[in-house]
Amino acid sequence: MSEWIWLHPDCLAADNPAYLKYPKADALFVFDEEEIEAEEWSLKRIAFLYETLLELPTEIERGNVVARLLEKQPTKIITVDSVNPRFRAHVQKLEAQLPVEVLPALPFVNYRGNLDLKRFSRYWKRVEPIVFDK
Amino acid sequence: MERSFASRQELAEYLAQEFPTAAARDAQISPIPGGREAGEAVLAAIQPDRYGFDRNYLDGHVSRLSPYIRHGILTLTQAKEFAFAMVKDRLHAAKFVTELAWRDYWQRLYAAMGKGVWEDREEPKTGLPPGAYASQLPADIATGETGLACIDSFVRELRSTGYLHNHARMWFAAYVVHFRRVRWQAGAAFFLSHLLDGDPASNNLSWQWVASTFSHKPYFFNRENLEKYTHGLHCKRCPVRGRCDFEGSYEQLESKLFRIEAR
Repeated sequence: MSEWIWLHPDCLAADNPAYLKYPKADALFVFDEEEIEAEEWSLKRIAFLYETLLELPTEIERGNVVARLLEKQPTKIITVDSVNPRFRAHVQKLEAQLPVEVLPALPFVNYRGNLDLKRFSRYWKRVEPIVFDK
Repeated sequence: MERSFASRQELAEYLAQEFPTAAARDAQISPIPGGREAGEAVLAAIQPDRYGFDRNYLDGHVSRLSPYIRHGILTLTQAKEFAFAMVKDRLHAAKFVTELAWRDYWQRLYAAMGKGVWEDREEPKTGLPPGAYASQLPADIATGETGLACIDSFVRELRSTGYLHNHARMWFAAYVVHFRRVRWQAGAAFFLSHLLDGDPASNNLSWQWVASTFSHKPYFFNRENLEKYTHGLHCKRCPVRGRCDFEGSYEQLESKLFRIEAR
């Protein structure tokens, strides 16, 4: 029984917020077979991710993400936020079972308020001055 | 799963056994290596100032950072800070940093749209009815056997490396959607299957930009444009040189491809 970091395909760095905050926690990455089939991944992406994972302190499994995580009998799961709807669905299922701490990913830009996303030009009008420190 | 491999070949063979359906789709692995160390080497080689001048050329100074950024191996902020540190004036890295911002923009839209990235965001502006577009990607495109040297070359590169220059992605998407009249979703799924940086938001919304369901007009190109930015690499050896689908002025192609009423 322990705390587990859940690594997913959007946060594969040794200095991601989960590793930084919980340096002693175990970590697990699960190749999401449902996602691989839904997006029809070829072997290239799997190999690219696998090579990346070999540099990280993590266990690697494949199958159903939620089931594989729960098999570890964690007391708590720590992960890094993602906008991927599949990630959000997994978090919801996990939260029904145990505490899940979703750490924010480092933002590209700190913008307070709602951004108009109708076109890139509208977004960029607001964001550009912040990015360039104008 | 295993963590120790004597070589990339051994890794590839192991993964083909573990993921047989993915291997059945395409068992090649990319020469582009995964990992932070590899990503940092790619980052160290960027030339953001030159990127601003020649990024639209196939041999331009593009960064090839996308597979690393897409998977959080490197962050947008790391790439931005690195680029700023390389130039005397931040404006010299402006184009490069703007392209990083596109990724942020797509991700923000993904948060708002979710699975909606698979649906038309707006009405297409091609003047054609939905029924004009095929739902499946024709086999000759997927296998790189169209007879068009450029398109077939893009498919071979995509399938063997999992990477394509952005301009090649745009030409390919325009070919699929407008010249072959295939639904953008079929092309987007093909890209997601093979791209190392495959992300449903960046990928699908870019296809929608080409298709005109997320822009005010369809994107298309003519042979002159492709020849210019490829330095004629494909046209020189193309079996249908001088008589391909892309011959003609933009006005001629527009009237051939679309039913856009004059305003």
